[in-house]
Amino acid sequence: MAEGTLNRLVSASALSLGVVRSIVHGTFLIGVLVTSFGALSELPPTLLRPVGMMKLLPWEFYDRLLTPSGMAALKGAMLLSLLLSTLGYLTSLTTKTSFLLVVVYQGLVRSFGHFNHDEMLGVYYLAILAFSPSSDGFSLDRWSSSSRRVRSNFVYGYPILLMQVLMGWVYFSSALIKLRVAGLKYLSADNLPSLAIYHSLDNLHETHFRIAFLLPHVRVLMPYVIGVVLIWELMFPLAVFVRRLRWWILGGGVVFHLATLLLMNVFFPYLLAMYLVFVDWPRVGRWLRTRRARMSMAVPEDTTNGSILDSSSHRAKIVDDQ
Amino acid sequence: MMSGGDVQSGRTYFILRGETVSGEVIEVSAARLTNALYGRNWGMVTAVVNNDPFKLTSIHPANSLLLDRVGGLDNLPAGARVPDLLEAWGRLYNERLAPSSPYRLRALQLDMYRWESGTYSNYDKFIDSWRKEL
Repeated sequence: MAEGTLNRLVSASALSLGVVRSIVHGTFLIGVLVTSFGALSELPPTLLRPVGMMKLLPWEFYDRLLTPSGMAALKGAMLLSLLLSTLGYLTSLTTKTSFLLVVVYQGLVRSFGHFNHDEMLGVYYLAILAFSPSSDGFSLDRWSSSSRRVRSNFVYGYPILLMQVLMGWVYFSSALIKLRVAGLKYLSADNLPSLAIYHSLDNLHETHFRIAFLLPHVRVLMPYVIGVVLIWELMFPLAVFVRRLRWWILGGGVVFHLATLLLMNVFFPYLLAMYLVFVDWPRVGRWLRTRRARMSMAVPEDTTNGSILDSSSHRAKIVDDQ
Repeated sequence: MMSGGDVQSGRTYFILRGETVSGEVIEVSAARLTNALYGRNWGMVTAVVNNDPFKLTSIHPANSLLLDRVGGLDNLPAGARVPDLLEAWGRLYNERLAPSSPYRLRALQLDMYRWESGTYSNYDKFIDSWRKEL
């Protein structure tokens, strides 16, 4: 019964979990690739304020890590581990090393700046994938292995469902904490304009959009805008449980994060990338195969006798092949 | 962000500027210099200006020495480590330019401003500045 319910909610297959592993690890791989670790090593460790478990590490560790050679070693290890875990090679080992290395790196950057929740959900996903059978599909391990382990689809579907529920909780709890901390004051007309303008005044943010300065002109509308956002956040868990609403809610998320970029110069690219755990990847695969078959039908040249096959006979051939 | 914005409370922010060898003052994007801290550079600067690294239970030995030298946290000037940060950013900026480039910086400075409370105007009341010759 549990498996039946799970199958209704998520695409429970080894392929799905393997694709999700590739996306999550690949997202961090790209992030590390485009990040200058050398520049980070130029910052003096005296600026650090270690957070959480990073406080347990001695200062000598940071003094050695924040050197060109230390950061080059960290970047090299992360690239190698994340590349292998993205491809699904030695997956059981590399998903765990990738998780640990990303935790250390995220701990380091958080020790410089404030706590930023953009990458946090991705880090939780890395933890889930490190202890899931994510190499049974869409991996080099799978293609190079002669044996085919047969497992229940439940073991593939459960981690995906857990990831989706975690995302639902991220948004739902975000709304809850806003209401708990600020109460109905959160709906005030000055909330969004003042916050957005504050984030648009300096030049230390990644982007420097100035649209926020238009918001005071439409401040009477702001309580309604914030109200809609709060309702959307509270409804986010429905994206997990009601497939018909899923793409509306996720689409709302894309609009929301683009709006925070334009209005507040705050962007959450990792969190947006994690939306891809909601995609039914086997279905995408079937769609791509069908599309490829249709495209090959469009130029149905029979190379054996040089004649052009009619589309019905070609379609019949494809069906036979399938 | 959880508590939302409030126009009644003033807010402090920072602008990073550089002076080129040709004497021009330009705005410098910190996010381009240390992109590992994307979305965190502004938080880091606020913490460094507030001397937060000196308020930990376990302080970096170099920070501990500095505290001893000045006679404790109360005697520490605001942004005691800002010059070190500016020096690192200035070095990163200049390393990306040819030695003969007129756009190389001879100094980097961090200007602190305050948006006074109450209105959607008067955004840039100057408060303080830190400058580092490179």
